[in-house]
Amino acid sequence: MISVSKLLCDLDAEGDGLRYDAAEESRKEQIRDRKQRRPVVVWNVTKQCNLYCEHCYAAADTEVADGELSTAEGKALLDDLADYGVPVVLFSGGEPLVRDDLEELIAYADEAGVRPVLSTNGTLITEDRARSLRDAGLKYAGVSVDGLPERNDAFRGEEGAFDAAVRGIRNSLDAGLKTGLRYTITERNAPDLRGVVDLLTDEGLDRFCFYHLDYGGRGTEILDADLTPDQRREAVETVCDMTRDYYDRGEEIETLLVGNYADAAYIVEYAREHYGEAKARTVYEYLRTNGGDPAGERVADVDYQGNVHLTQFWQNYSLGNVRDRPFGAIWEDESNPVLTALRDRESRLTGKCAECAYSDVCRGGSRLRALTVEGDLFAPDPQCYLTDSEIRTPPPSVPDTGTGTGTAD
Amino acid sequence: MPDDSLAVTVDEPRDAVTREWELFVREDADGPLTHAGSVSAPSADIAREQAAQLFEWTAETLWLCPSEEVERVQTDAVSTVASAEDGA
Repeated sequence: MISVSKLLCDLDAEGDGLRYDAAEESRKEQIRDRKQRRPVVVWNVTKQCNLYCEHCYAAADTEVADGELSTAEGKALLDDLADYGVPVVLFSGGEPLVRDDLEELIAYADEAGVRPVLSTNGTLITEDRARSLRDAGLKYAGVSVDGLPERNDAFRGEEGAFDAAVRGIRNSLDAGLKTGLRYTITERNAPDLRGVVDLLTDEGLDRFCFYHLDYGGRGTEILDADLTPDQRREAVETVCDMTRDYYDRGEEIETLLVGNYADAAYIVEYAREHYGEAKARTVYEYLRTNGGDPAGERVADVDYQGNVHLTQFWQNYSLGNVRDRPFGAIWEDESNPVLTALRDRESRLTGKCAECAYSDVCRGGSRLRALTVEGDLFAPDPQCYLTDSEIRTPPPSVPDTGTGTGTAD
Repeated sequence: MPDDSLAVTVDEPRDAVTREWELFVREDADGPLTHAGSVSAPSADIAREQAAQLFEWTAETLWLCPSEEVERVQTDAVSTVASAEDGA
C-alpha cells in the first residue's frame, strides 16, 4: 500500500506508522514498536455476500458456506492475533455485514488491542448499522465502488448497487466513522476514476484506495479486462496528478495505490520529474522503508474457515489452519519453503526483476500474478509497466534504512 | 500416551467449495517429509499441477492427500480456536 498523498504532498495519515515507519514524525496517532513488525491480518469472516462481483478474489457466494468460524472461535482467533502482536485486523468477506455478530467481534478486537477496520460493499450500512459499528469501536470502513453507477452496477451484478453504496458511505460518515473508497482499476472502469473521486469528495469522503487487479478467485476470470502496461501507467499518473490538483486547491484527500509495487518505482520517477532530485530521494527513502510487496511477511489472510493465506488474494494455497495451530505458530513456521522464499525473494527473482534498479522498493511485485500467468513463483510480475530504461535508471542514493512493515485496509 | 491426551478432533472442512489437498514436501533425499500447507483444487491432477508450480524449485518429493481423508486430532492445548465453544 503506497500513500501517494504522503509521498508527493506530505499529507499525514494514521497508517503511516505501518507503511513507512514514520510514527515518530507523525502528528496522527500511530501504531508503533513490536506491532509494526507483525502482519496486518485480513479476516474473511464469511464467504456469503449479498452481491456477486465479477472480480471477487474470495469467490464469494450468496449462500453461507460450511465451516465458517463461529463467534466463539472468532474471539479465540482474535485473542491469538492479539497475543502475537498483530496491529490491525481487517474484517472482510464475502460481505462481513451479513454476519449479525460482526459488531461483537469488532468490539472484541478493539478491547484486545487489535485495531479493527472493515472492508465492505457498503450496501448494508444503514443508519443504525453505522452507529452500532461506531459504538463497537470500528476505526475505519473501506467501501468498494468500482466506477460510476452504470459501470459499477454491471461489475457488481446488481442494479442500484452504486446508489446503495453511496447511501452506506453517507450513513458511515454521518455516524462519525472514518470512511474511504476501495476502487479496483480495470480497463472497463479506468475512465470513471476521476469522476468517482469528484463525486464522492462532494459526499465528504477524503480517502481513496486504488487497487490493481490481483489474479485470485474470480479475478482470474477477467484477466482480459486488466489494464495494458500503457493504460496502467496512465491510471497511476491520473492518481498522482489528481492528488496534486486537490492539494493545490487546498482540499486534502488521502490517496493510496495497492497491489502493484511497480508503482513505487513509478512514483520515484514521477517525483523526480515534477519536484526534482531531492524530493525523489525522500520518496525513495520512504518506499525503501515500506519494503515493497508484502506477501507472506507484512500482510496475512485468515479465511472464513480459518485457513491462513499469504495474502487475501492467494486463496488457493493455505499455510495451515488456525483450528490446528495458533496463527503465530503458522506464520513463524519457516520449515515451509514457500514462506521462507517469499521472505528472502530478492536473490531468487528472475528476468527483468533480477536486473531492476528498483527491486528494493518493489521486491518483484505480486508473486501470485507471476505464478498465475507464468507458472513460476519467481518470474516477473506480468503487471510491471516499467520501461527498460526505467529499470536501469539508478534510483536516488540514500543510506541503508532496513525494511518496514505493511498495512491493509 | 493415554488416549485422552489427543482428545480434540478437528473435523471442520478446510474448503466447502472445492476439494482441499494436504501437501507434504521433501527437499532432500535424507530430509523429512514435511507438511507444507494445502492447495485447493477440484481434482488430484490439478492439485498436483498447482503444488508443482509452488514447490518445483525446491521439492524432491511431493505428496498430496485429500483433506477429507485426513484425521486431525490434537491435545486441547494446541488451538484455542478449535477448543472454543459458542456460549462459553
